[in-house]
Amino acid sequence: MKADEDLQNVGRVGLPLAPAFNWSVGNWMEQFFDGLKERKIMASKCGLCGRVFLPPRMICERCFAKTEEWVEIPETGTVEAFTAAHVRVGPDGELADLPEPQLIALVKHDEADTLLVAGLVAKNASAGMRVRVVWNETPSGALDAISCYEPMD
Amino acid sequence: MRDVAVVGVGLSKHVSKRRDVNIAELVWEAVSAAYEDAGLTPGEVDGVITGNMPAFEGVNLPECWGAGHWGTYRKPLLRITTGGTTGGSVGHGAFYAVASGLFDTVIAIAFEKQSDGDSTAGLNTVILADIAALLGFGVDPSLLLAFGGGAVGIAVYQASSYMKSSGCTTHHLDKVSVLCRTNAAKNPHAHLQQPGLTPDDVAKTDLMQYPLRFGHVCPASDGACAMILTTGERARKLTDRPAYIRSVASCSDEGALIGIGGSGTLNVDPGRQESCKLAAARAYEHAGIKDPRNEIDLAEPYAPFAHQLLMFYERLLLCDEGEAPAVLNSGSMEMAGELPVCPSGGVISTNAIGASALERIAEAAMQIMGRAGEHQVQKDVHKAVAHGWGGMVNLNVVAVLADTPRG
Repeated sequence: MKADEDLQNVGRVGLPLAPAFNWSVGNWMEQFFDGLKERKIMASKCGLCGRVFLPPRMICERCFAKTEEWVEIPETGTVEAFTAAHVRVGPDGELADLPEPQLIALVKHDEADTLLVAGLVAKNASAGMRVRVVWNETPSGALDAISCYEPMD
Repeated sequence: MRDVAVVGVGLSKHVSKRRDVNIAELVWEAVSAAYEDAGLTPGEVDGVITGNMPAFEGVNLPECWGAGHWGTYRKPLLRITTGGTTGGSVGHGAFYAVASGLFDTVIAIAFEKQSDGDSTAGLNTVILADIAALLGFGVDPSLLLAFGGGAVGIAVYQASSYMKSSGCTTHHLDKVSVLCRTNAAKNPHAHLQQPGLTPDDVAKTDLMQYPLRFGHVCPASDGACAMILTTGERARKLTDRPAYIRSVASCSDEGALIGIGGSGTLNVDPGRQESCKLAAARAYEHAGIKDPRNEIDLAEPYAPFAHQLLMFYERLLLCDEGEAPAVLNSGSMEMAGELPVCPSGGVISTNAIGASALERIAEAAMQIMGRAGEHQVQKDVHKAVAHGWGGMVNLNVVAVLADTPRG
């Protein structure tokens, strides 16, 4: 509900609550984040069915088995799907127009079986497009270490 | 209605903070232990029933995130959440599934990872209707804190009411904590393990909110519990000594939550818990138990606060009202006693909230199956009662377990 909406018979009540959440990501994601700091993309592999999870996950859903094997994944991949964002969420929690539309892509990295999501900087995006990672200049141990994807050619 | 039996139980270790695993991974520990205990694989289970507290971790639909970690791949999945009773309701849901004949084998999974979340904020979402209405009328938020204060805010009124009606003293509360925390010391999955604890130690802990001291109140735990239920027929093929769930019953009373507006007016004394007596009576009747005081071998009442162990012992019809403090003094509730109570250590020692009421059923099942290890009670357990308390502090859930099916 926006503050400036002119509503009748509606009172706005502020609640004196400040919930704090401290989500644990778990050891599998920790190892992924540690890899990103060194510009390495680490995935976990199911020893039974061979599926490669990127980002890594502890359990292969299909086999109900721990994924104990680690593989380093290339920086290159293929766009599976994409969209164009026209708005973003501003610091005040409200939507704000973007100066230019921003592409967001689901990318299947070579040698991985699952998808990563990040921005895509390209003039003519298409599904099936070959892309590579553009690293942040100082990759932190967080997902934004991958700044965006760019076309390979 | 078909016979239903527990054939496998799994618990994670319960601690304050598990930072090395996420929610789905923590729950996996209990789930994989349950499959192992039952000697089954997820492929041999027909459905998954799960639950945790609403909004406590700030994660909606945690079951959809965790499902794959819990062997749910391409299987029916149902989440049940009823407040403190959640785990009990999950166990009941699993019972319904098998008893009805719709499913042969199901896994019940309940959990809480309190360190990830904000339990006070979670509780506040439960009473949000009241809070919003009161603030709308200009009530000072600090007054709300004095009334609310999380579950303790209800429990203290309940405790003083129960103490007045029963003659229970603070000394009895201290002894309840000793009973539970020393039992917990024998349970490798329990959170607060205090071997050698004395009533004096408990009496010296800080006062939290009159009449309860810190020593009378549960910890906030990260933990999970899973239990595999199947038909009586299949259970007998899987194990020599399954734990049959003879009956389940639940009962929702009028609101006993303190508030003015919205849904939670204080219509009844939270110390009464008549719905527990009604649920217990129904459960015993369906289980074919005529004289619970003599037939029940073991009780796992849901007691995050010390007075509740005594109050619910009475409301589970195991003695007259007002008699439980004397039963406690007699030693009958101890691990080697006539009717051991909370050999697991109870909720006052371990409280991963959503899991707690399922863990009462799980403990009863393990005791009947003879799989409780160091906290196995001395006597043979033929019949046990497991309880949960929650909802808007007005819901009680009761399950009766036995080493034989209903006649």
